[in-house]
Amino acid sequence: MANTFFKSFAESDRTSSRTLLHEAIPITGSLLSGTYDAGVNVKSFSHGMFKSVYDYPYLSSSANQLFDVSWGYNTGSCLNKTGFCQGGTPLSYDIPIVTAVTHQADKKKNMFDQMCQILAGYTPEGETRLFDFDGDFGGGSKYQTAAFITFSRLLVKDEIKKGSFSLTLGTHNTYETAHNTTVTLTDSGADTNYKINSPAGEYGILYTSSVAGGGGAAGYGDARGLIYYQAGVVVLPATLTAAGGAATTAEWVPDGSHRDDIMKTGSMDQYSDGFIHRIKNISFNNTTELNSTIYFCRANHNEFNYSSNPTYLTGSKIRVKADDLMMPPRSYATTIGLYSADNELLAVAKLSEPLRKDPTNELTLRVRLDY
Amino acid sequence: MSFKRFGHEDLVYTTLVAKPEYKFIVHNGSVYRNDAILPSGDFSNNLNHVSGSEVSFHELNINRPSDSLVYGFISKDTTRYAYRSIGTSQFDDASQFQFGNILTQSYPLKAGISRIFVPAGSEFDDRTFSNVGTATDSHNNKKYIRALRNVIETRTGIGQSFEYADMGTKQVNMVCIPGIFYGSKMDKGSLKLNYYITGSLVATLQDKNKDGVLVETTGSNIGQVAGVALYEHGLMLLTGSWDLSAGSHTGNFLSMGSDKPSWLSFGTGMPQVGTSLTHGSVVSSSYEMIFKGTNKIPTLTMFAHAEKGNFNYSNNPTFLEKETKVVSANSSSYIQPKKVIKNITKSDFTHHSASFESVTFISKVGIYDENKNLIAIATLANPLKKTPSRDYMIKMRLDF
Repeated sequence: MANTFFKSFAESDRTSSRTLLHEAIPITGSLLSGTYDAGVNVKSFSHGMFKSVYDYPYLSSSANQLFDVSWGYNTGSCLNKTGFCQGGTPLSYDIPIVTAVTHQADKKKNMFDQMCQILAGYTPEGETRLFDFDGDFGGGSKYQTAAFITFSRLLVKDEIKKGSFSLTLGTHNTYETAHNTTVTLTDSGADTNYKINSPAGEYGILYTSSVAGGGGAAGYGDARGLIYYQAGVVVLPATLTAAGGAATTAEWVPDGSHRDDIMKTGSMDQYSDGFIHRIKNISFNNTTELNSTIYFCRANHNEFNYSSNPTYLTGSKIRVKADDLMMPPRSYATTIGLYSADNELLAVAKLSEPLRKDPTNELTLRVRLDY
Repeated sequence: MSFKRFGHEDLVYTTLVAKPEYKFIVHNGSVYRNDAILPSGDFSNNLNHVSGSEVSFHELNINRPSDSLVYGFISKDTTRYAYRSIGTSQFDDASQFQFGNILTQSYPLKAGISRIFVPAGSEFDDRTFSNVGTATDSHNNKKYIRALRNVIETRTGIGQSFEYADMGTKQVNMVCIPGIFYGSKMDKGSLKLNYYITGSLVATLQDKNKDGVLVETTGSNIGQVAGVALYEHGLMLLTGSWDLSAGSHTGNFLSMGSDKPSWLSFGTGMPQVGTSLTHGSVVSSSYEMIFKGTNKIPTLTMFAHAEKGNFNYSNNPTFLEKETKVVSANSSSYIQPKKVIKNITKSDFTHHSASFESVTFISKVGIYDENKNLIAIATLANPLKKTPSRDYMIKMRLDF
């Protein structure tokens, strides 16, 4: 240590800052289905409530989990002529969904209820809120069915960067050519316009930004999903990916079974398989908050010109003065130690090269501590 | 939600010391770590985009096409945060980066073993007033050995027979191991260097006295010191120049000519740092390096107790029966209707309602600091059914 005395920081010597680090995360559909997957990148579980997607065969230690896919429905939902209701008041000839869904009904309901409780919260009366298309929890359409994409923390880090999310889904009726028509959802404008009325943090609304190749279920600019930035969850209407006007005949699985039939009589895994198959592209930027404290270490002209390093003296004389009494003392600063109030060494900052310090100069060294 | 303070015996501080062992093999210009051959990806590149001995720090880019890699970026601002690939002068140069510009960092960030060969010759540049015009410069790699002089000499103080002596002027073969492999320091006594020629072990170096001095334990000069290891820095300085093959083998180790195999040529073919030594192909020689690292993991073990009669109430809205009455309020009064705890107790018998019991399910334990800031959450694998007559002790461990 250059000197055995400590210098205390004044309030003006210390400041804090926050830096946002980002990573661009592209997820191409080829990682999820087709040539590079062969079915081994997607893991299913014995409970059958969701499927996990990996970037490599999940049995390999190299594989990273990317996201989970699942879906569920609201008990009060119904079926009408065009498939599952997405909101509004059921008509007299609509079929209550509770009688239509015959397979894994409880699990599908529980999945929907749980996600509503976590992401949408409760009303003042203690009832679970439903996902709201426009996010105001007032009137208007509510989600009665929802597909969920829950991204892994490895990808999301602290949060998804607002305004950076894009999801392209294939909407074509035929399974093999599902990507011939697509719909792209983005959270455009969310960097300045997002919702804060969720217990799970901030969320934005996904809008259809393009409908390519013959039209999709949604029109341009429609609200068709929610994205929870800190939770890393995307909520979509479970019927979104069907082609316009042909919702009940969209082929969802390789044997040609239709999506709505899968939702009613199929398993949650079958729905997830079909949904994963229709993901063409996902991209977003994540965010990591880096909090920093910056210390300005000031060495005035009459300070730190001496060293207690054993080599500083020779024969009880300051070596650098070379027996010349008129020569000013000098030292070379290489390291700064930050100490606690109890004089315990907490952190050490190293200079890239030693700095000469003598009575004719003053130094201000900027030390940044990230955590 | 109720808070409960940890007792003196509920917190146990321990340090877990892990000593992971690594083995590197160098052969014909390729380096292999722990006998692993990295699988090829589906996109004309290695699976994780690093070579054999390297480790990828984030391992985010697994089996991805080269045009679809994850990368990092940051906006230049006054916190002066920048990636290490951008130097201070570059950062400050407004013609290159203006405030608000995006600075990018391509992934993967990687680290692997490397080698620095310091040739013989003058330790310092020879520049004086008397030799203007005929000044001579020392080799560019001399700076690496010069920088270690203090490190080597200060080890004498802790009882190790290290001497810098003429290390500044003679040939030194430095083998460098990144800190990600060894942690806080290499484990004393674990270091072993094997030199193979045409598949046969001809010499071994070990720090058999656990003092960092590398002594030949197999070969023609058993007991001879061939170099030193700096445990805390992950460096091996090899200076042994004797012929390990006893005159039976030569190769293009130190030049394009025929050289004898020695500890100075250990690691020929591994990536080089600084000014690279030009050498030829050495297919008959292979090198093995085995060592253990030291990782100290401070661990805090916490015991949380849920005694009988405690933690039998929940603030979860579903804990109470759904409210049908509305709040009545007028100018003089405000009456909040009574709320009833939902009875979820099931009877063992049909057509029989079990008597009420306040039952909760513990699914998480929150750890708070003294200011009641939530600093950690422990989630149980399965919710614990807590009745007033049951007590639990939940053990939690926090690694740093």
